[in-house]
Amino acid sequence: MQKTLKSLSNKDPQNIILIGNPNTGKTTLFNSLTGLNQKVGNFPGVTVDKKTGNFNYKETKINVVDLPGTYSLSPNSEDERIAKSYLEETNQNDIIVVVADATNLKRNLLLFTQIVDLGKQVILVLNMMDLLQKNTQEIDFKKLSKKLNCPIIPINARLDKGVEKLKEAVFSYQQKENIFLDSDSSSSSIDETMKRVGKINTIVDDCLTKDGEDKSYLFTKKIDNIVTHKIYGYLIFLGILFFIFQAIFSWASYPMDLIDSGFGFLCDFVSNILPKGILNDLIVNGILAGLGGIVIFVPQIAILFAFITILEDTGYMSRVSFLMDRILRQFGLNGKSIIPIISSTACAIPAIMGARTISNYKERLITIMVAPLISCSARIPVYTILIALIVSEEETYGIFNLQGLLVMGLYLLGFVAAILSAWVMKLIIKSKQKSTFTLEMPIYRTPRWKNVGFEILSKVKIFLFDAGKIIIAISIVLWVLSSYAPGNKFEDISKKYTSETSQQQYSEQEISTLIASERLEHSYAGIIGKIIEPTIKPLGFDWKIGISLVTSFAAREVFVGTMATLYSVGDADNTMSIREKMMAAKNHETGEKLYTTATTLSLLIFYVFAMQCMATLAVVYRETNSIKWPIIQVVYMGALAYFSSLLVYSIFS
Amino acid sequence: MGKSLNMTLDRLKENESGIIKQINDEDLAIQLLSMGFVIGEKIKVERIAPLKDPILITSGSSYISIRNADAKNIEIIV
Repeated sequence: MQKTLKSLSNKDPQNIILIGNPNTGKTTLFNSLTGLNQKVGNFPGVTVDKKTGNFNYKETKINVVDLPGTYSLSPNSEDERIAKSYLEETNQNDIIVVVADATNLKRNLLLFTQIVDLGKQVILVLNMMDLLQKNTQEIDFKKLSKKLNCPIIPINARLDKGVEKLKEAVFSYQQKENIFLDSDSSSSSIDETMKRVGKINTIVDDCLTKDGEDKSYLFTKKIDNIVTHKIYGYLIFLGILFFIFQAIFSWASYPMDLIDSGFGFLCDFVSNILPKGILNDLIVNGILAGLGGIVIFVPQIAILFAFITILEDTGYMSRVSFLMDRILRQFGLNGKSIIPIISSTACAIPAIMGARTISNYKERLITIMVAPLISCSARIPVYTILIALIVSEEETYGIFNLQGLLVMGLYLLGFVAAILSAWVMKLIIKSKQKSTFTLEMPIYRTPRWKNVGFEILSKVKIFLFDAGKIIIAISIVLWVLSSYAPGNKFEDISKKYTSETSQQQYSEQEISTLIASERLEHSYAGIIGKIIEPTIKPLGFDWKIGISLVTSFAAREVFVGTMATLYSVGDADNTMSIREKMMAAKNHETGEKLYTTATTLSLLIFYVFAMQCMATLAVVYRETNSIKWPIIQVVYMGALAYFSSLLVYSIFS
Repeated sequence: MGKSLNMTLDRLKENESGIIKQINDEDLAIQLLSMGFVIGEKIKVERIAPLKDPILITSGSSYISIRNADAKNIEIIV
């Protein structure tokens, strides 16, 4: 094992791998080690988030990998399997930094000793030293370090205390051989684990110089009495959800207005400095219009991810899982499904990946299958634009903002659909695997604001750049499709309106509008929209909406960009907002207002149910390792969307 | 005595406790062990969910939730 690897150690970059039980502050330590020098990727072959980063210490670059939390090396979930196989493949000179909760040392050392016995080079980090002091407990670190034959660094990751010492320990690390438990005996796994635990307990008891009372749980249990109460528990949960949705719509409106007027100004500015022509048109009406439609939703997405991170970081999310387990079980789900379900309100992709903590395959599969029915942040732009067409911003119902209430209604609808679909799948999918709900209840702590900040930043980045790339590309394609037509069609249209009769009939302004709208109708985009129009006409949609439905398949938020581009083509000065343009839109056959209540509601319902996200499908494919499940997902959600919209349109028209 | 011989964790009420005697499911035993629930140590039912299942249990500094079906496999001495 050690043959050639040591000789390479001078050339190889130094890697450290962070591992530890869940809730030990591993991520906080990772953030304080690497700062902004981090990126999220995937482990090869699987979609577990692989956080990597680096820092410089005494002019040496040190790479850091953050593994998913795991209790032991006898894995119970997909996350743990990944951590284990990654560990086994590390190089001999990689240092494994085991992060342990100092207040729960006995349990945390189990994983540590298993890693030592894999023959790895290990540094033990004891976090939560502040809590240890609060409990008036004291540990003799020197003694412990000697007994475990391993360097120990006590830290407080929240306050960055001890982090420099850890860097120094990594820098000056001396390789050595270490064995904790001789595993020559062919004992069964449980016996071996018991032996390990016995030895750990003896050592810890010996090194604990002062064993105070563990106070950290007293406060936590008091809160749990309220938070998991049979009435208050559910009320608090509903209250929090309600608060989040109101916040997304009222708080976010200020920065959104600012961004809106900012982009309006930018469009005018660019339009004036560039010479008139195709380039000007492409930049202003193609790229900037599409971009503006996306950037404006950053505040709402940031707020949503902030709330979700805070709920997880404080420990509250585990209690919600506990409250919901019995209910969700009825529908073929698991208490742990509540985290994917709530995360789905932000984005189905992390949610589907988060389902990995569910050890039962059937429950995990059902969670993955129904998660995209929960309204995600990409639907917010669509909902916002459409709802504004039928309800004004000032309208209230009692003390509540009516727009906010409507959005909450749509979210509820998605939630109910998800639960019912899960129930149907529970009856169809067969499994004999045992289902469990073994989940740690971390103590309540104030959220680590730095973590919240990092999380918001990384999610907004993904939204802006990953989604943004697709959106810009589609905006440009759309602009081309709607600005060109086969043959000489455009010239014919221009000729038609330059004839004497129309010159007399219409003003100059009217003529240019008529030309623009007729051009769009005969452009390539118009032709595509018209092809699918008969299929979607029963839902109250016209060909322009048809184009949006097609482009939305790349990502739902593209809808807004598409609308902006499609309606900008007919608005030479680009002075109206998207909302105003859509309000003014007319049905090209009847000449009546297009976005009636019936059409708007039908379109809203369509977006609640339809599977319009290529990225999610790709993740479902990777997570289930089969093409079957994403196909089933597209079909069942599509059918649900089509028939629900049909129903809604016939009721309201 | 007769009752405590085959007493299992699912039969405890809130705030009642016992000593873990045996866990009749190897996977569960290893999982619980790695989460801090050691045979021979004290175990306590902290809270029962509003719908009677799952339950919150503690042992030492560990505080977790398990279902009644699993609690049935945990033999205790009261």
